[in-house]
Amino acid sequence: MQLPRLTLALLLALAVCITAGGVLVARREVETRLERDRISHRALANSLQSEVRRLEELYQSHLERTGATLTQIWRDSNTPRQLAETLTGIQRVSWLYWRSASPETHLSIGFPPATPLPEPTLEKEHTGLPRPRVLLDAKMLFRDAAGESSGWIDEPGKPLLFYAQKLGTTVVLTLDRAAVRDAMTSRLRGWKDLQTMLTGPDVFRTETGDVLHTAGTLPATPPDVIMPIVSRFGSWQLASWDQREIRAAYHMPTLAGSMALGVLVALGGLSLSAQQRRAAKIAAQRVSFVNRVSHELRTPMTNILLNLDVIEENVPQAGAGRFSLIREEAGRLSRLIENVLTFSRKEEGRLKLQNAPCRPVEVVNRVLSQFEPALARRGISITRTHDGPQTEISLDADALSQITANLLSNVEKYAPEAPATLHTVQNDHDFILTVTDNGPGIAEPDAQRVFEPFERLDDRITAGVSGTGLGLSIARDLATRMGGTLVLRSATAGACFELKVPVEATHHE
Amino acid sequence: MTLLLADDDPITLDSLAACLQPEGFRVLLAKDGTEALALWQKHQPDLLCLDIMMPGVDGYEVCRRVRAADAQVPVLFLSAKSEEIDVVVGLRLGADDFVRKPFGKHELIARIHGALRRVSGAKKASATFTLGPLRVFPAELRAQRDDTAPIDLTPREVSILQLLHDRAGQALSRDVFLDVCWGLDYMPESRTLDQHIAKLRKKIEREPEEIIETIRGVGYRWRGSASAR
Repeated sequence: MQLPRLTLALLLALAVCITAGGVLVARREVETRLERDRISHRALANSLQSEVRRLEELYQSHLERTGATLTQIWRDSNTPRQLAETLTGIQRVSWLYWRSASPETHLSIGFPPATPLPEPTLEKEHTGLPRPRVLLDAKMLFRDAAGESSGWIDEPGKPLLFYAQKLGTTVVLTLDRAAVRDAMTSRLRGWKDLQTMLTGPDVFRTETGDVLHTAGTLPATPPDVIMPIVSRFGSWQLASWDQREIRAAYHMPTLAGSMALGVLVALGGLSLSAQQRRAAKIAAQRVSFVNRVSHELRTPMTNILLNLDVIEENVPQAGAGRFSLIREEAGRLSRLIENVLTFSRKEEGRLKLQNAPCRPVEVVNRVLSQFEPALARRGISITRTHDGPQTEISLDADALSQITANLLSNVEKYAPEAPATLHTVQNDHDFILTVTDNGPGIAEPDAQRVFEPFERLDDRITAGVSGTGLGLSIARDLATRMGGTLVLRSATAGACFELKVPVEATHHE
Repeated sequence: MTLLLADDDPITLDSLAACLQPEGFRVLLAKDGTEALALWQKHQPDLLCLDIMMPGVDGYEVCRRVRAADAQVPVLFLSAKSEEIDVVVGLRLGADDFVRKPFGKHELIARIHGALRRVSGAKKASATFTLGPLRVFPAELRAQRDDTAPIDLTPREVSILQLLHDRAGQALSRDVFLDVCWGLDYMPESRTLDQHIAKLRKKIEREPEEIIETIRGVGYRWRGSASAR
């Protein structure tokens, strides 16, 4: 009953796997985005932009004042330096003149940068050593040479410049854009009110990603809305994320298909298991029936055998002729019953041997004496020999008797009209029984097949020899269970079977 | 030698009796366990042959009760049940052997001898007598030649050898044998004696008339020898 359970368990497990796999394949996670209030968000961005613009204007007004002052104090270098250093971001101060022979003057502020800054100039031609330059348009700078003017020179490919012109003298300030941006960033970072304006998940950060203010837990996904805050010196970002909801959805055709397949497999498993259980039950009933019938045959068989013995001793010449035939047939029937019973016990897994003290030579002789009339009738002269002691040892006498009978039965069936030998050897280690006949023998390819149950060599069936095909199979099985072997030895003529079982001495001698 | 046979199949019981009585065994027949226990208590037989499946008290129970009272008496199970568990239960209850049906007379007698031999082996020492090269152990139902395996004998054969031994040198008529060895309860034909003698000679002699000599027109004789006494 193990196989049906195993089949059912495997197929049910397969059904569960198919269904679970189907559920996994059919499942999809659908993300829904819930848009946040964009108006307040935009208002916040506008506030930030206004603040940045205010800072920018404040800085510009400082530049205008400083530039105007510097146009007056160009002769001395210390005063302009001190003045320039009060404002963030000034890298160089350059004085340029309207139609004057005065040379253009440049004053570097702070640490010199790694790469030399290009010098603002009005000179179209190079004078002195070659150096990087920014050529400026004199018409633009001195468009109001009699008055005052100022403004930005913020062009691609040029550093950020601011100029202030007064009465034909222009001061051009070369500015460090990043330094001014950092100063503004620092100012924005310190703006405490901004933190309360963020509702989250929001972030206010520089264009390089440095976070200035944040609210809520920021998702790893890119933000849904980015509002840039832009100035001349750099830009910042107000980024925010919408709320998201994730819910599971299933692809119904896939789900239904996998469930249907799972149910089919489970039903198939149940059906297959039921069939196997039914088949096993029928097989068990068949074996059990054979067992019961054979069992019931034993008592009448015993009565027949006992009464044959009684008659034989009381009726003249009973041991010969037709009476002897009855005895032989009764013996054959007994062996048949015994073989069928042994086989059915083996099939049911209940065949076990029981060792008891006995003299194996006597057991073999007793079986041989039962066969002698039948062997003589078929013209088989059997020679019985023995080597070694005939002491008592411990083994299953019934099994030895059954093996001997099955071997002699083969001689009787397959090797008529020829001499045969039954030789036994008993020593300290083994009991060996060898039965050799002079029949047709067994071809090499059939040597193993003869020990298989129900196997019979074809030509012998057609030759009219009867038998169940169980004898040698049972004999070998019994020999193995006795801890020994039964083999077909190669012989020049006929068949030679050798039984070898280990000897276990008893203490009865 | 008294045997108690218990089997619920009357034909088996009758067949067993028919096989064992001519061999000189005295048999007590019981058709169930209760009767077997009663007969055992009354007659204290030398050996019990029990079927397992019997109405009322089964063979196992009979064996258990007998063993509780007598640890020595040989008990054999004769049964159509032959599963390992049946044999194991039987042997654990103290049975000496388990004879599976079907069996014939000779196998049964051999098994009875085996059981008796083991018991007598345990008891040791019993009276013996010799007939030439043959030493006979009457209580154990066996004889022994110096260089061979033990020879199993039936009670009848033992009594024939005993008679020949006791009246060594005398020619004994068939009637004497029948009177002494068969007694009054059985009236065999004289041919029965010849059959027994023939079987006995086959068992114990190596040469014709080595031990038992035929006296034509009279009967049989053992010449006797100085060493036999």
